[in-house]
Amino acid sequence: MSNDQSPNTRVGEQEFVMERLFNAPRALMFQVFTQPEHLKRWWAPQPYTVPVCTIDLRPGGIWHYCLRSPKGEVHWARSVYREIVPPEKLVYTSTFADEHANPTEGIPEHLTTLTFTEEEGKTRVMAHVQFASGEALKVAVGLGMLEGMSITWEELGEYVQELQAK
Amino acid sequence: MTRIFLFGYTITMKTLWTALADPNREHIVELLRDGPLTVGELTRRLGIRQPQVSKHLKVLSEAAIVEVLPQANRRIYRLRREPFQELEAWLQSFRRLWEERFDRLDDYLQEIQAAEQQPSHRSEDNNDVE
Repeated sequence: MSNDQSPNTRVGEQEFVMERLFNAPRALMFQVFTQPEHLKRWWAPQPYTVPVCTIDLRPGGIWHYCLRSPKGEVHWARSVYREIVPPEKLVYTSTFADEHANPTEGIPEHLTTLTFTEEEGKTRVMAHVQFASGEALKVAVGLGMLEGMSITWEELGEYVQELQAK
Repeated sequence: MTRIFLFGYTITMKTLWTALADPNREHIVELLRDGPLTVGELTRRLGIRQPQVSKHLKVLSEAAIVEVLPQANRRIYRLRREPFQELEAWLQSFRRLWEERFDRLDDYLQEIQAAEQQPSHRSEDNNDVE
């Protein structure tokens, strides 16, 4: 919908897949996704930073981090690893949390599956994100389809700002 | 814009999720997807007692998920679009986030791989000078 027509993006009902080929060896790719010192450098959306990031890299282990805005506002998030196959695959569930890594209630969790595939010295990373299913999501997707044909991303942004101004 | 979506939506999302964390209320939303219905009609289709239906509708109204259209002496319920549009936008924001994330990762990988090669060259140069 909106302005995302790139062929390497597929949108399912309550999930999406995004992939890209990176010019880096697979071992390094796996490290940048699993080591706090790397994640602190690229994970946060601009202009946020990641001042705190801890990782317990084992099935059931927690990846807990904080995003800080330039104004000092902080948002904590946490993921729980389900499957770890270095350097090929990483599966985890994520949600918002507090500073003690307790998950925020009422926010749907999402499951991320990352796969790393070697391609002539480069690495293809595929991120498959699936949201907890539920009627709300089905309705949202349905309405989004109806409305989404004509609405652009910019219009959506203005709409959100209006909502926030209320 | 991504970040506004990601963090700004949490209150709406929370209200929506809490209100729908009940199979009967989820079923009501499913039924109303196809169009507005009266309490009587909802009761018949859900197969539960009317006071229960009314109780669930009250929760959904308070969460601004449904609205009432008074018509004569009947109360007709319909879904409000707004919470679901917000949810949809919130989902979209995740895709946008991953796109931006891949862009930053690409830059970061170039940066660290370039840094890996350069310092060793420099130290060799220095040794040569000495």
